[in-house]
Amino acid sequence: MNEIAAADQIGFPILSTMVVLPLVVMVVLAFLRDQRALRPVALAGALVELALSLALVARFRTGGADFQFAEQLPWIDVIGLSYHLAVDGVSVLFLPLTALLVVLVMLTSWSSVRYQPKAYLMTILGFETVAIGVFAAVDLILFFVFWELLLIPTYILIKVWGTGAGRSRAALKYVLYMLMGSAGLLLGFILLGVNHRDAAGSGGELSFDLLVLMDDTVPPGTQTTVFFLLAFAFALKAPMFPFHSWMPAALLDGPIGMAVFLAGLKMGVYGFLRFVMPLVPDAFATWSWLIAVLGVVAILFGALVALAEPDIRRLQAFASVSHVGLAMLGLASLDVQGVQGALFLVVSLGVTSTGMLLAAGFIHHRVGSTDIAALGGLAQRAPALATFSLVACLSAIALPGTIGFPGEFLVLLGAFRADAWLAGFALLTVILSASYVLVFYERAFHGPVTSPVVDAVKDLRPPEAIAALVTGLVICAFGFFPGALLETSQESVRVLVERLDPPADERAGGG
Amino acid sequence: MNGLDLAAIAACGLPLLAAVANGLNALAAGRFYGPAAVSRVAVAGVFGSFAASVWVAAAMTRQDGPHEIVVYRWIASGDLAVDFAFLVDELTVVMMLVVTAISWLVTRFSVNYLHNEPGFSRYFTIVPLFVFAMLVLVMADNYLLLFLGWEGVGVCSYLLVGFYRGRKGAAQAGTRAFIMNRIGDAELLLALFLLAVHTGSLQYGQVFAAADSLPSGALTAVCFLLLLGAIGKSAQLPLGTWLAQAMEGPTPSSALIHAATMVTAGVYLVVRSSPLFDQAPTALLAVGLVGALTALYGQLVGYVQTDIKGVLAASTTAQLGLMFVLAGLGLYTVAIFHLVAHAFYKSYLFLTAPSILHHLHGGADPAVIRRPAHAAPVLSHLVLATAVALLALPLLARGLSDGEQVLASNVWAVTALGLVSVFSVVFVTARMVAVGFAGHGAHEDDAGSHEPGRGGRAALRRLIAPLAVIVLLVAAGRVAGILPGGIEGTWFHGLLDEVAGVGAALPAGNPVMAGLFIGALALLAVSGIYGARFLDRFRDELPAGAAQPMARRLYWRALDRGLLDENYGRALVGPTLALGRTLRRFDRRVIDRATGASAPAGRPSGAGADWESRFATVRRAHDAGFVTLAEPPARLDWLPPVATPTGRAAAHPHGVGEHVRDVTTAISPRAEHREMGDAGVVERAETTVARFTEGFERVVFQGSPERGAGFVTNAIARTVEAVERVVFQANLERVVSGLSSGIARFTEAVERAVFQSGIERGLHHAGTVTQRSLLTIESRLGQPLVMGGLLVVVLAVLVAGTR
Repeated sequence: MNEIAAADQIGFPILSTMVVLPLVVMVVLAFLRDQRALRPVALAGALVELALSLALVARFRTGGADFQFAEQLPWIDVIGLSYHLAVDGVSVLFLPLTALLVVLVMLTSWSSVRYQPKAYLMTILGFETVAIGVFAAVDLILFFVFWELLLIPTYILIKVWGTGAGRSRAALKYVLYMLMGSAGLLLGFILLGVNHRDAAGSGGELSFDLLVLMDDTVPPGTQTTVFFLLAFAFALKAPMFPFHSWMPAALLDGPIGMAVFLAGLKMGVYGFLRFVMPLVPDAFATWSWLIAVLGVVAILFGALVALAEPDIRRLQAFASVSHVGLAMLGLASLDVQGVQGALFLVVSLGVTSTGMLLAAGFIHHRVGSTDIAALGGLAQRAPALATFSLVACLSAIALPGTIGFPGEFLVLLGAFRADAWLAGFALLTVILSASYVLVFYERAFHGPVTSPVVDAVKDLRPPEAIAALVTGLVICAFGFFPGALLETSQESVRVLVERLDPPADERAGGG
Repeated sequence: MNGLDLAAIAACGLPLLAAVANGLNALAAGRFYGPAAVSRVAVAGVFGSFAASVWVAAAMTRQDGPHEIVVYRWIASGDLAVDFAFLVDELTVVMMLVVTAISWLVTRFSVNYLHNEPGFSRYFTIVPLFVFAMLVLVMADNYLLLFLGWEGVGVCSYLLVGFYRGRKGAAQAGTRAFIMNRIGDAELLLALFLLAVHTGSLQYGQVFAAADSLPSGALTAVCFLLLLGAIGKSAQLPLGTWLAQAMEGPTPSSALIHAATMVTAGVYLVVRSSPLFDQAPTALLAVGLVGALTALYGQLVGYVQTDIKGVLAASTTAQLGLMFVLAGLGLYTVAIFHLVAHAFYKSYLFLTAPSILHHLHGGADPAVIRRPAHAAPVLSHLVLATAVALLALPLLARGLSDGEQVLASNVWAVTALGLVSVFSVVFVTARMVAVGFAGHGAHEDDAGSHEPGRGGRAALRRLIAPLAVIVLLVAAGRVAGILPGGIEGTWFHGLLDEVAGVGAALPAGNPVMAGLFIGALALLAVSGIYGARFLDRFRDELPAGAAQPMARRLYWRALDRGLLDENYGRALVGPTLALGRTLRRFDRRVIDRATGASAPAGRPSGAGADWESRFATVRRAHDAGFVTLAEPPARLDWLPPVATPTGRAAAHPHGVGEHVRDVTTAISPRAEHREMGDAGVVERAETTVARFTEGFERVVFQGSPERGAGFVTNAIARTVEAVERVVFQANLERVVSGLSSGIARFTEAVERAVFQSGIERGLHHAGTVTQRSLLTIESRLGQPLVMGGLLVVVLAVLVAGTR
């Protein structure tokens, strides 16, 4: 695997800048005395970060599968660790996505966060640093460190700023779940590093560099072991059925500002794309049938439960389970369109589920509940909120012309090519998602106004309206012009899928 | 980029621009411009689109063949590349003209109709958006872009059906229409996948070129799937029930979407895909069969409807069915001609409906109107005559003149169809005349009219003005020799022949399907006669006779629309929802319990409860904006406060910020308080870790309870204490008992889920369903269907004899 240094492309270590910038803003906030300046300063920091990420995408060279903007510093030489950051077509879009979500969360903090806003903003910025690190790290252990650090801001955000009574439990549950996978993840990484040393013979050295390890040949037995260790960790994070149990809890009881990241940044699926597929391709291809079947089960299970779910945040959690199932089905199709569709789907879901959750947050802030029984007739009191929610809802049901469509279409197309029957079942999501989303929309926004709380609801306020408008614009713009996003991942995905090509006999039985 | 390209893009883009402008204005609560300008923008956008369409049509005549306009690359992945591109050929031009012309008239008409309605801006945002989507649908150069328009019109229809937001029924109807459409859309997507996999493209030209090399099974499958998509959009059986409910929307939008344009998209899809259908005769016959059955259904339902829009919706269903029949016979040009004629004719009827309603105080039930005896206005006679001529003549002419050329069965079919069509049209139109125009004369009351200040007649005249334009257009068409169209030798046929001409000879297709098709047409004929004789709501009670109970039963069946909706509810929607609820229970009881219970609704309990109860009060007060800390706390701000809440906050736990209620206070009756002994494994671990973290937090962050004690000393002391508590207090016995009881619960829950809810209920269900279906079958025997069946046999013998 080749890489292009950041110095050749943009002249400064942009990835490190992006990792460090939120930390700097965080420190500035800590020393800020004026309470009114908190939010503008934090927002400005988030906007600079977003601008940096956009510059990154603008300078990104499409048409090749190389890692770009690379920067590498020695870290612990003895065991071959290095501080190594780089992005390729698989990961580059996650950086602007993360930066965008942070901006949106900052915008909504004006109205939704009253308790200790300074600490809240600082925690969000801390989260941003770590999340950017997760997406930019190409050294396995460095990635692992960021991956684990992620738990700290998440735990704090859910526990302290959660909106539900079960927030403490939800926070704990989340952390416990993640820790369950972490041990295996680390073990899997170490196995790969050791394998690299052993493969090189007597003079071999440990290495945990993704770019180095990708060129190794890993024996089948090790591949299977590593596959299951890694897959388990990433499946927990994704969350993949049946390991999704933390998600409804975290979304219902956690704050919207955190839910946006939990549902929006599908790091589990990213983990599959980034590590599992390139590092243990044969095992992935062999076991893809399992992933595909679990994916289809998740699609149907999530959608059906969402159909029966009366609370929009839990509904969104199960919708998320369903969508992750779809993305996993795309990965398991071992087909260029399926995998690229899954990647696009994951990025687009970041925007879509953020839209849904922001809408839920706006509703919760106004009505004090996101339960369907407390709503009804909102559209008459808050037309702008209703319009924004509708756009997010339509994107969630993958309407053509919204950002949700290209991903779902390509995933289903790839899956159809791999296995028509599984794809046929997965296609039910087209009907089921429309059912649960629109039935919710109808019951929350239409009909007569019955509750006095709803009757007194005010429409979106300026910062909220800006967040809504930006989300809506992104949803529509990339629905009509998805080409720019698809182009970035074209080559990387092609190379990735070529490596997956399993022996012909296994392919026949594979998902 | 030449003039044609620009015109085509303008035709598509102008309504979109209008929609965006009006939409932004509506979102800003009309801050940019007022309602008058809103309607002007919408009308201008749609009219501009119409003008551009005329330009395209004019430029098209100078072109040799179909013209392709690539705007940009839309989606590209792997070897599949789909452009945002338009295809301009004769079929497109015809559809563009119909869509834009009717849209323009309807938009203009709506300006008065929706005057002073609350959602005025919203309406004039959605209608141009609809025009955009519909134009994308008919102008698309590939199936995926067609799908964009296809879904776009569905959304606009959804929005307009649910236009009156305060009404519960309207929103439900909109949702139901959209979901039923989605069922068809899923199949359409499947067809797209099949095409993409087998031909490697979705572009019409490439797909049609590769159609020959497709395996015939795949081709037939594609055609059947396309048909299913068309069924959803065009409200054909068995997905057709949404159309009647869609009448909840404002009447002009019903005229535009649910009569003239959107619902005909299915017919367009079939005709556009005619190169595929021509090679899949079985699918083509299925098109005809579906159409015939739907026509039958629509006709029966139409006879007994008692409100004007109901009559119109049923008649639309029937007419769409006839278009499908025509397409199924391979008479694509006739089908498109029928589409055009029907668009104008039906939107005319729809646009008169509101004025009639307005003049009748909204008394929509013709049963309360005096039965008209005579003296329908001249205009209505004219409409009647034109409509009959339009619809019947081409069919009859085709059937009689081309008898030798086409297969015998088609002669029969077309003749029967012609008869039916005459009956249906005469009957429905006569009812409209009876309900509307005559009734108007009898009720000279203007209180229901829209603008109380003006005379009702003046208002009526203003409403009729755009309608007169339609009539004039039709008349002009007749004079110019375009009408009657579709049959060979006419201008219309010549125009469309290249795009979707009739195949040299109609293939026979599957004999079973052909038999069914003939049977359905026969039933249609029977119902035409039967219905007209016995089912008229206005008819005086017949003397008791043999036919009477049968007629009554049929009448009731037709009145509740064949119970289709109810049966769907019972067979599909109910079980799906029940499955969802079961899975939700399963998720909560089995998965959550196995992996650690999720947060119970209501009071904090279990791990972290202490922390929660201390923390919640103060944070709630914060959220309500009551407590403002005099100075920021020295250490990390987010910590659970040790101090008791201030007196003020305690006195006003909710305060003025009532809307920022904390869910913590909501005590659910279902709150589960379970002993920790019953907990699952993970929950158990959760508690342990919770204790530890709590201790840890207290140690590190909260610092010393006694001031002056050193931080480090304290930390060590507390850590020791915490470790002590964790290690010694959590005794092994409880862990084991927790584990075993957790597993026991798990098995129990699984048992309950699998055996009780699954098998037992399943057996019960199966028994009930069998019993019920037996009863139904028994009661159905001896109904008019038997008569129809006999006729099928006769027809089949006849057809066999002719061959």
